[in-house]
Amino acid sequence: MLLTDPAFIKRLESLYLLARKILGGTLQADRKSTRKGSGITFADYSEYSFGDDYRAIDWRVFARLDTLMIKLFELEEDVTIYILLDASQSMLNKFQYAQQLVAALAYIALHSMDKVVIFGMAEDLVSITKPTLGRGKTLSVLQTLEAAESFGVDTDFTAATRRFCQWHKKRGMVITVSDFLFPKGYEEGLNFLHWHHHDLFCIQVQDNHDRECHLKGDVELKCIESGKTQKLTITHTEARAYEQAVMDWNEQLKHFCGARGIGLVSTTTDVPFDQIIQTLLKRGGLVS
Amino acid sequence: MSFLHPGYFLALLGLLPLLAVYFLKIRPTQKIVTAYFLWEAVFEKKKNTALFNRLRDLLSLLLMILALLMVVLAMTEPEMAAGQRQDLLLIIDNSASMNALDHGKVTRLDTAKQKARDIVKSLNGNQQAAMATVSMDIQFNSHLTASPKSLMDAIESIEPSDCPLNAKALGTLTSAVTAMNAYRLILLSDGCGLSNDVGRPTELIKIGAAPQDNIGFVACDMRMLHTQPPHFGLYYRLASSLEHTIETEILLTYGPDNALIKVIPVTVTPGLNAPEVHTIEAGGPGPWKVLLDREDGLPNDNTAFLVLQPKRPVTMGVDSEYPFFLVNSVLAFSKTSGELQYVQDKPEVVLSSGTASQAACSVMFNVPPGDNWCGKVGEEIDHVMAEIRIEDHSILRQCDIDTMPFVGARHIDLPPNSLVIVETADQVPLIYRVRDKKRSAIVINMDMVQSEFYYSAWFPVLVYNSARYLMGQQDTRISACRVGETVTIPTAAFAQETTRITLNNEPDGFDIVGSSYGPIQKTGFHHLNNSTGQWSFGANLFDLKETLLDNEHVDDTRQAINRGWPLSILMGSLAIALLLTEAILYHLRKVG
Repeated sequence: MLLTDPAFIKRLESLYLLARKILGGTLQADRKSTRKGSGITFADYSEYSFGDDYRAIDWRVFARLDTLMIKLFELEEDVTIYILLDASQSMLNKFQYAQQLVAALAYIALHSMDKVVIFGMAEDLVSITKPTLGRGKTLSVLQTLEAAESFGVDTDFTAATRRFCQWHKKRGMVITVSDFLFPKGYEEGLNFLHWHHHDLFCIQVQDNHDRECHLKGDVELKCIESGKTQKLTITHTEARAYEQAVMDWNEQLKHFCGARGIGLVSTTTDVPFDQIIQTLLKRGGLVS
Repeated sequence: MSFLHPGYFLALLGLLPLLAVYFLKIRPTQKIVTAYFLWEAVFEKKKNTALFNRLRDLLSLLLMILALLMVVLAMTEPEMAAGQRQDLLLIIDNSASMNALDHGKVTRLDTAKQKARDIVKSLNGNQQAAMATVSMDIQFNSHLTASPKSLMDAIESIEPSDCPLNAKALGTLTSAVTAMNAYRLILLSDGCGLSNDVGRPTELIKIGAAPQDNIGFVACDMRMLHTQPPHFGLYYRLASSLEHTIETEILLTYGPDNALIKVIPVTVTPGLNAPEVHTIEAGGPGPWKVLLDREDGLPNDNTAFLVLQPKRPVTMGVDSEYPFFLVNSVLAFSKTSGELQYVQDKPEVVLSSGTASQAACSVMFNVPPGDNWCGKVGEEIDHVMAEIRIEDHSILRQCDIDTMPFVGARHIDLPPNSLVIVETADQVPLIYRVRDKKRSAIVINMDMVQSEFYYSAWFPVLVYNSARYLMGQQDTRISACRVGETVTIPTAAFAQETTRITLNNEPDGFDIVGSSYGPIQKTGFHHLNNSTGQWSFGANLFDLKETLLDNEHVDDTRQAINRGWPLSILMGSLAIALLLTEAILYHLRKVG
């Protein structure tokens, strides 16, 4: 299904309306940073320490508790949503599905008056769309996204995140849509983004062929990215070993993200993309 | 090693497509994977078996080549020892003595059949065999074949025979086989009826080595005696294989109901016993059984089947101006054997002199000159020298033609359908048979008065022979015969007619054409029916060698027989095993 297809856009519109309903209309240009700062909306108390602004001391609390406490306010700033779309060869069978997910996220973000930037990611980082703001840009974003193609030979997530951080110093929400089957690992890249104080969210898209082995007998396995080949006789044992390796890999990703407060959703291509978006909205981890 | 079909080596060209198939088979299909780096851990684990996998491909190729080689070799039917193959001719003796029970349980024939089966089962697959039986003659039950099933079927079809072993028939076959030098002739027999030199180089597998106790009839007959009231004479002769004298009984039964007529106590000595004669006063013409009341090794010779023939005289009349000598010639046989009977009213045969009798059957002397139905009689001839045209004709039986004076013989032009028996050197018929649609006659061309033939001893004999011949009774009807013999069938004179034969009153019978029946194969009562009436006789074993079951003089001369599976079968089996192994490897390759 084309991303600019009216039927598809209608599904995106439905998702947006659902998002509004779930999130109670708090979407319009008020996407706030989770960091505390000099805004006007009270966020929390914190014990005074040397160097804090005197003006923030809550003297009423001091009168009651005899302790210096300062009031913290939410930092009001424009938040940019960065979407890193894995466009490597390994996403070949899942690329359209990933595009649909990215399109849905971008649509909701643009309609919420958030700035959206979409990058293609393989062994390097390629900008798919420039920073875009406003509902009026929705169609052009979808068209550009639709025209995006896979590229590169190998996926180097670390290099891609480094390049991303070089380009965009400003903190924002980084959503990575990938199968996370990176031969060089995902840890360093995610750590790097986390270190730069980006809000991170990972959407892992795989298909059944990634998770299950349906091969039997003598085969020559060829890596879709590197082109390396190896002959192998696949028996039940080898098939189970591979499936276990994939399960372990995904489990490690889950633990890694959980340990760092990184949102993670894993899905397969046979699950409708809008169902995944609905799940995200209901969990509230991404949009709220 | 030699090859029966070396042309099949061309099938080795099949190696080329086989190699192509092999390389197609081992070529793995390429599969694109997205998480190759995860597979690398699996590759590490499989490193230990990588050498086996490479060798497996090589082994697979080797197995396929070997399998093809084995198949091709099997198709060429190799033999280890060239030029030494001899096909087998298995002959099972199914003569009467093979019905003897060994140890009281299994007949010798069954034992022989079992041994034949064992040989067939273990035959080298390249070796062919044929199956035959021998008793009175050689009967082939199967052609030369390597098919065990055909040979087994042939063995199963072998039935016991009532006939004695005909060693001459076996000898003839042996000579023929020896001349060909391509077959081994193996005889499975108890050896009864074989002499030491008959059958060489036949290999004998001797059956039933243990001596058997047996007593049986080797001769038996029954005739009507010329007594009033009529009595019957029973003649029999026994033989015993026992080493001591025993007392036993003979039961004499009569008729289809086997009514017991007489019990005759007998003393049987070892070997061939002296003949015995008894007079029987009860019973009458018809079937008789003479039973030896004893169970022994061979049941076939314990019963003698006899048929007492009724007297049936030929009625004769005389048509002559001077009948005295003619009538007395008839009375000569009427008063003694009673086989001719003189009647004046409606005789079956008319004896005439000086006239051409118009009776249906007649014996004519002195046929008058002129044109008669029995020939155109002309001038008298001189210096008659009789020459016999048909030797051993029944009319001439016990007659000396050379001493017969054919004085007064005349030229005769014979009508069609005449049979000249005696004639002159100038081909003037002296004794001949003539017939037309209504009449038949024996004509003796002589003047009885001039030749004084009335006083000749041959005169009543010639009348008797002629009358019996005209009535189809030229041969005395026998009461019993041996199996293997051929008997003459009483037929209407000069006729090739069909005779219906039934055995032991069984409903089904068979027809034969001609005047002889045999060789007779079955013991029991044989009933013959044709236009001359019904006649029965009994057929019996009556063979001394069979009855004595004497085979101690015969040695087992068997030689080793090539046994085992043929190389082609072994190679075919090996090819299947190799293909199975390769199939397992293929399964591992394709299914893992």
